[in-house]
Amino acid sequence: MNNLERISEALQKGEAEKITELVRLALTEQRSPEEILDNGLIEGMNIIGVKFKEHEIFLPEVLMAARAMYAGLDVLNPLLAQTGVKKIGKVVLGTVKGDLHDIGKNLVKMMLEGTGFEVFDLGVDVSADKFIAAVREHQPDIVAMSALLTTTMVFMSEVINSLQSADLRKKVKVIIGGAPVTQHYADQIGADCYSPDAATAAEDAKRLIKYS
Amino acid sequence: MVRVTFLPNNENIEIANGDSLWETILKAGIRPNSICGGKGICGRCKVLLKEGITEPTVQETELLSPEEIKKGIRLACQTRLYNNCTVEILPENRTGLQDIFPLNRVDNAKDFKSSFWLDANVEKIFLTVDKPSLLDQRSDWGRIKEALVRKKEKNLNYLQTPLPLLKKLPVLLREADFIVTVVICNGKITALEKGDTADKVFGMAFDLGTTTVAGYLIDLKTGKEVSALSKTNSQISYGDNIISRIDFTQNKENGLAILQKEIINTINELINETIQNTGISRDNIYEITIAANTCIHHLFLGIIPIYLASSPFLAAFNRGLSLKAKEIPALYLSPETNIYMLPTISAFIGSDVLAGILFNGMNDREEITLLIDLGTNGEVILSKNGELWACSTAAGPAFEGIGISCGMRAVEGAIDRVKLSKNTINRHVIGNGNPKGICGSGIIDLVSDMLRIGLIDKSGRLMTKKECPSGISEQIKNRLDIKSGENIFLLVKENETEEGKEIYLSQKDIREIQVAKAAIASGIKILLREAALETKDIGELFLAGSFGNFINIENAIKIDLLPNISLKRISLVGNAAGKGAELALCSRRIREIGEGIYKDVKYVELSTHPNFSKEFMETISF
Ligand code: B12
Ligand code: FES
Repeated sequence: MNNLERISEALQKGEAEKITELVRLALTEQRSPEEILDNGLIEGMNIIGVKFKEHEIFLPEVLMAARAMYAGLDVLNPLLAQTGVKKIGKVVLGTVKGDLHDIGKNLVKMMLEGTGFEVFDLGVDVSADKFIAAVREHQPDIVAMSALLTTTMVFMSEVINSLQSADLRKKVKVIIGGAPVTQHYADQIGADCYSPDAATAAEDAKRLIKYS
Repeated sequence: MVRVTFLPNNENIEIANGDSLWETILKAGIRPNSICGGKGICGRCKVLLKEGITEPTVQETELLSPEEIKKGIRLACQTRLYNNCTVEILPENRTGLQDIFPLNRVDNAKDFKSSFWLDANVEKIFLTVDKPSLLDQRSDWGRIKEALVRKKEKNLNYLQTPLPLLKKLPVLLREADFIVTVVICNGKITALEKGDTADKVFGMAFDLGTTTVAGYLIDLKTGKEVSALSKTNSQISYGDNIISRIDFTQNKENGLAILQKEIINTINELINETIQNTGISRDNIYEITIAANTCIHHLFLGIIPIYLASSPFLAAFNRGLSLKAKEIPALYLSPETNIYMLPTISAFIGSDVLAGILFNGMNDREEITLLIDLGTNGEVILSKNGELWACSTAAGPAFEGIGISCGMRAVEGAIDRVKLSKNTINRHVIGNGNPKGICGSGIIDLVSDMLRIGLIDKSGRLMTKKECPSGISEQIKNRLDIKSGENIFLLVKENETEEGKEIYLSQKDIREIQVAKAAIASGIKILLREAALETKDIGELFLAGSFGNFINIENAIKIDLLPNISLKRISLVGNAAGKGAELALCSRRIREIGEGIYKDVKYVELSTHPNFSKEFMETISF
């Protein structure tokens, strides 16, 4: 097993300290930060994503893995910035107005970051205006919205309408999710994509920006 | 015009072209299942179209299997009718518990005597009124009052008389030959009855729940419970959770009026059944008390509930409220019957919880006590030396068997108990017939035993056959299987079940259970922390709600649903809300206490609580 494989494995086990060490070690082996990111951290997160999707592992394991991933990223990020390596895309993410559920949304954030996206997390109870302001500020490729209540999912449509009237709708892809949301609802309100879980969300996000 | 025929009764209904089947069904008085309240999300309102089969809609193709669609199964809420049709609503797609159910009765008089003193708000006094003569020209009212003073030996000047009563007075008094019984309620004479009826003084206490409504008839002279019945809240067809109902009032024309009518209908049915069973007269019910969750409380009163559910979550009012039956549309009680609504605590903590606090005397216990009501919306109350904290934690309906592959409510055909060891598996089925599915208490047993023998690990992962720990017999090991690519544990083989479909627990089901139990357990932890307490400090734990009565507590502790304290310190209190409403009916003192404490209960909002997610992640494993 080489060190990249070890990184992936340590990440899956959620061993944050070991990751920091292994990433440093890999760097001394003259591996590029990009290679370590793609074939170590992201590779590990991918496997975590698949296992989560198949219900083999659950929230705490994903959380631990994500923590380990962030520990690795802490070492890599400054170097990646130096070498001018760009994130694969930008996502503005939030739970819609009136809704305070964020456990699912946070998972989506981790999986997106674990896939190489830069995520601007607006938190919970995010109004359409806030989404618009964030889109203007960060110019993301994707707007991702979460809703867990049947009463709040209607606000997703409000955000899409606001994007439209602000002439921003064509500039972003919209991806939605959360327990009550369905593919049908996504079609109905004109979202580009519905994903049932955080791992699929990351895959779909990649597909939407045509990155592979 | 379109004609719809309902099987098996061959009832016909004519509707306008393009009307929704869902509304037609409701009109016909049939109660379809629904979680989403007719939005095409939950897929529970299945009907079988025998004639006039419609084209499946997008929602139907999403939520129904191809076989179902081929058979003619459709979603009532998504079907609009343009042609005559014949519809069958299969029993499993009607809401269960249609009928009125008797509840276990307790002898209040015995149970409650120590904790309160009978002090009802209604009193009846039998009077032999002096007959008038030319020598005694006191007014009719004057002589009644005089007789009252004589009997009660105290000044009753404060007693007022409503005009409707005065109108009846002269004739009634003479018809009764001056032998009457007066009814005093809320400090006013509310009725005058002929003859001696002083021993017929009744009241009813209600607990209005999202799913079930319970009604108790109490003899107010003795405090004894005469009858106890429960019935499914007929609002259930508009969504099985409060959010869907609130949605309905917001998005449907007349939604509020419809839901108000449904809850009143349910109450009326309970009143009628009670009267029929006991033979007492409607006119002898002088007062009712109502405990309810805040949403149903608002709906009963016809108050729009939408602000309960959106941030910052506010009720229209919290205090206790007295009103007359005539102020509630079409409530089948005599118009002057007093209604006392217990105070609510917050948008998510209703008067049902307050009633539970009162019933368990949590307000003046020195010991640290915890009250847990396990339901779709779990409520947790903590008391420490009279100080009270409360939170509401939305666990979802997993423990009611909803959202679980082979789950069902605790009705006939449900596996409600499971005992699994390394070599054997035993189960109990409600009604003792062939099993149809598994309900919450059975799921808790199964998960707990699977954990114990190692078929599920601490993280909640279900073992595959290969990973099965040693020492497990082949018989049990072979139950670890794969179905549609997912690991499952086979509980009942298909040839042993009622419907010929195997009953199993899947990996995903276990995840659903983990989420639900973590929501409750986190609520408990956070509340304890708010009060700077730990699990070991809990002196007594009251487990309320019907679900609490059925579960194996030890197993519930093993899966970390309930805090790990000695079984001796856990009491099952059943429908504490209903019992609390009874107390309030029997005792004005109890009402005063309720009015005194509802404002002081510290409501802990979990949705913005900084530690919720952390606790949730920590309690989600076993
Ligand atoms: C935990 C929880 C809470 C916590 C939330 C804490 C927090 N910080 O998030 C607390 C207790 C505070 C809470 C409060 C409430 N809750 Co709540 N809650 C839940 C519960 C139990 C689990 C939700 C959860 O976190 N699941 C785990 C995560 C990982 O799953 P997930 O959110 O579905 O996310 C996954 C996917 O959906 C997807 N996904 C999620 N977001 C996104 C976004 C994108 C872009 C994509 C692509 C994918 C995606 O990926 C995720 C991972 O795979 C559910 C019931 C249940 N079993 O689902 C009820 C539930 C959602 N709550 C409910 C209710 C009613 C409430 C309250 C109104 C009631 C109350 N008692 O206070 C309040 C509302 C507060 C508010 N305004 O938001 C109801 C909603 C019913 C309805 N018809 O809408 C539910 C369904 C329970 C029920 N049946 O009664 N709740
Ligand atoms: S899908 Fe019809 S009621 Fe939910």
